[in-house]
Amino acid sequence: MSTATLAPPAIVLDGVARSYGSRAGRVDALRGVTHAFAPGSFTAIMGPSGSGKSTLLQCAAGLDRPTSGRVLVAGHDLGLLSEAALTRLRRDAMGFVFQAYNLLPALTAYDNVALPARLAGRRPPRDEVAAALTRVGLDTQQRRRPAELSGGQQQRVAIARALVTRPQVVYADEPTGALDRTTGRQVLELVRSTVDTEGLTVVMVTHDPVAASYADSVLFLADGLLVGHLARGTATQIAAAMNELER
Amino acid sequence: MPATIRLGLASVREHRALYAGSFVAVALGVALIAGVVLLTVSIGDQGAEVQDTLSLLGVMAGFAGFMAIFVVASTFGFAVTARRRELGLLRLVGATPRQVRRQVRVEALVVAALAAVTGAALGRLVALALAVLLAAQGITPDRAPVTWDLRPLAISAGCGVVVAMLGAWAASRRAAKVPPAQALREATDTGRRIGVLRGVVGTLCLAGAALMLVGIRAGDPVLALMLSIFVPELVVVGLVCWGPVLLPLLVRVLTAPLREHPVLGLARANVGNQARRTTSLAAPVLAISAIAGSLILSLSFAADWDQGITRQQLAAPVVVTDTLRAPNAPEVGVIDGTNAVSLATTGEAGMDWTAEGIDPATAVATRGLRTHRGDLTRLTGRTMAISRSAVFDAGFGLGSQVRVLFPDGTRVPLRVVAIVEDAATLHEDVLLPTRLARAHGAKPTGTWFVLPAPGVDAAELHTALRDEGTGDVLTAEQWIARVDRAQRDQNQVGLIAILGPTGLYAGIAIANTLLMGSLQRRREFTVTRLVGATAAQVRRMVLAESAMVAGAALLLGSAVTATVALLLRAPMTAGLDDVPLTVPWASLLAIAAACATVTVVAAVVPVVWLRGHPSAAADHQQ
Ligand SMILES: Nc1ncnc2c1ncn2[C@@H]1O[C@H](COP(=O)(O)OP(=O)(O)O)[C@@H](O)[C@H]1O
Ligand SMILES: [Mg+2]
Repeated sequence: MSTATLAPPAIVLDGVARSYGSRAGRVDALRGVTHAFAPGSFTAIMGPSGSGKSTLLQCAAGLDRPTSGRVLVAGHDLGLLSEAALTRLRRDAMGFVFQAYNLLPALTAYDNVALPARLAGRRPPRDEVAAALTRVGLDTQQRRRPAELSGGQQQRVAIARALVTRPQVVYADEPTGALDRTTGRQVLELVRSTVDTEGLTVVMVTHDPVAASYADSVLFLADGLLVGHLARGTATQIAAAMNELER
Repeated sequence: MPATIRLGLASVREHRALYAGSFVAVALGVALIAGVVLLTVSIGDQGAEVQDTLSLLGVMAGFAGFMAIFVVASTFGFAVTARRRELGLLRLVGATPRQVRRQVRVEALVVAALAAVTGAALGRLVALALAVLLAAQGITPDRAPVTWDLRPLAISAGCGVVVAMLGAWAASRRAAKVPPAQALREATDTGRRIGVLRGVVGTLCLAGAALMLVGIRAGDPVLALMLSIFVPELVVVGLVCWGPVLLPLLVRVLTAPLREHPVLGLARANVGNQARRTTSLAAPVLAISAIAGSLILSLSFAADWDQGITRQQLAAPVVVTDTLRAPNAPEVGVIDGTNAVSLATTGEAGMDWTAEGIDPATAVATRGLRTHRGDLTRLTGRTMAISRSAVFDAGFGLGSQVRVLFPDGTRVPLRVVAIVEDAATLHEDVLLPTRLARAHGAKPTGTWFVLPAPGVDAAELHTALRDEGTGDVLTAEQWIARVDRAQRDQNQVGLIAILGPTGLYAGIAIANTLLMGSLQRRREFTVTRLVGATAAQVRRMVLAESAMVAGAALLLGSAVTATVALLLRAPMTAGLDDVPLTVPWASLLAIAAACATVTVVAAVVPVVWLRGHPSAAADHQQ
């Protein structure tokens, strides 16, 4: 074991299981997932629909509590944190981007990006917010409301907001799912370059092999279990691996 | 500026439509309260009839306030449900539950403040309008000038803000409970689970109502009547608290045969699935049908009760009204004229009363006065008697020494020597010896109960008095009918004054819920269209949903009304031989029809209106 020289992982999943009880019976969405996400890594999570991808992401972000197992983010055991402490950790160390509905409709693009700082009781640094928006190519659209932005522009505002607090990890659930191919690619390139320049840790759920190919490695999930791992795969390789799984 | 306040302001601007109902409800409530208060301050002390009118207006404003809490609670609760995803997102990007709660309260405050100012301005107009109305009705001699004093307006506006904050309280607590993961979830919460506090409040209300119902059955008439007016409110609050659990179930059971129908079956599933929306829609219909229904029946039964008492007690076969001169035909045996003098009891429980001077023997002979306790024959000198129900308010009873103040300025200590059974149509609640009443300014009121002289029969007496030509000569039966008519007319005016604003509020709440619901459901409607439903089918679906909910609510409201009425009937007929049963079907059906109409119109209008708005635009929007 010679990992002592490596930085500690940004996220650790240790035997994470999650089951939902419902009228129809018990559903085991996750059945013991163990994985360590290295800092500065970009990981894609793929799997058939219902395989537990979203549940995995929610457990990793402390949005959902595992039935058993532990989750560590930036060294904190999420299971030991109070709701308020968890909220603070999310505010300071995590960013989120989803498929859609990322923005508060009442606020302008600028105010959406400035919101996390305001909620933390800080005065949002004007130049940093503006810089974040400039970096995602929206310097001229700061005063617009979400309804006045295209889907791709909305996603980019969401990314600016996820990044402006300089989080250690960013979780994304199908961030390009609602975008056309060109816009989706721009968003992915933006994520990729941020990982490369800022050492950000990104975990992204996707079902698109092209999107997954932007990641350093791909985890395959089936029936709540990790069933495969592919590092530096091309879109074709990833698609082939997916096909294999779904057979 | 703290983030929550800033966000609250922006949010109210963005979600204007969601808060339109709250705004209208609070503004209207403040306008009514401000108008009544302003008028009261302007008119001041001006005699009993004006006082009665003002207190009726006061009750009306009070009901308006009660209903406004309902409407605000329902619209804010609805807004929170509609915005679950947004609130989850807020939590996700770092808002603590406290911050979310505060934000919703800030939003309520913004809406309430705007509404209160608007309402206060409108209040002046309401006061002016009421002043004109009172003068036109001859209640005040001429149009009272409305004061420019700003304090009544400020006080009413403050009440409005408090009412709105009370209404938004539960919603803000619920908002704080929205988990951050809500931002990721596709399906919205169906909201069929209710919080512990809500469950406890609901259960307490229902338990309290059950106790009161037992009290109605067992109690004496006046207490029963009072309880019957408060029970429906408690039941309604209790049922609304449990609504998200109860109503979907009720609708499901009632509409089970429609399960397989393509459109109605879908409507049924929607109603069952959207427990909060179903409750928001059912609440006003339930409130208005239960409260109005019970009130209408209670007042009608009270009139029946009064008539039963009059029939039981009235011994005089002929009654002469509208004359201050005593009829004196030779056929007259005993004559008993009514009179009145106002007096005030002094001390802690000081009150204003109207008293009447009677000669006990005569009054027993003509009006059948029944002694409950004490001895009416001792009503001489410095004594008084009171009726049984007045003991409640009076704070004194048999044997008490009461200091009273007459209008002529004299203070007299009186001993209570008897308590008589109630007979509101036959005598006042406070009875004095004739001589004492006269000495302090009692004036005849123009009604004379007449017994025939020995050997003369009722018909002869009637004819003789007719021929004499003094006043309006009526048989006992005619007089009873006339008094009954007058009482029911007065009840009707009171009902309209109280139920008018209440109905208006119910209408606002229903329209608000349905309109907002339809706006929120644009996407759902689009999906329904995409899977092959025609526009007409979607409209029919929405209509059916409203009809199902309104139907279930009306059923519950009718059940409450029927229960109250059945239990109330027993104490209102006990010990009386001949009590008529009057069920004002027309009024009851009018209430049901009004509820149904508002619901249907409010359901169809937004869907028709949405037709002109391509829902594609909605998909782009958040
Ligand atoms: N809140 C929930 N209640 C009950 N079952 C759930 C819930 N969330 C997810 N599931 C179930 O857990 C499984 C995994 O779901 P999810 O993580 O959303 O899958 P994916 O994102 O891979 O499509 C599915 O079978 C799903 O039905
Ligand atoms: Mg998913």
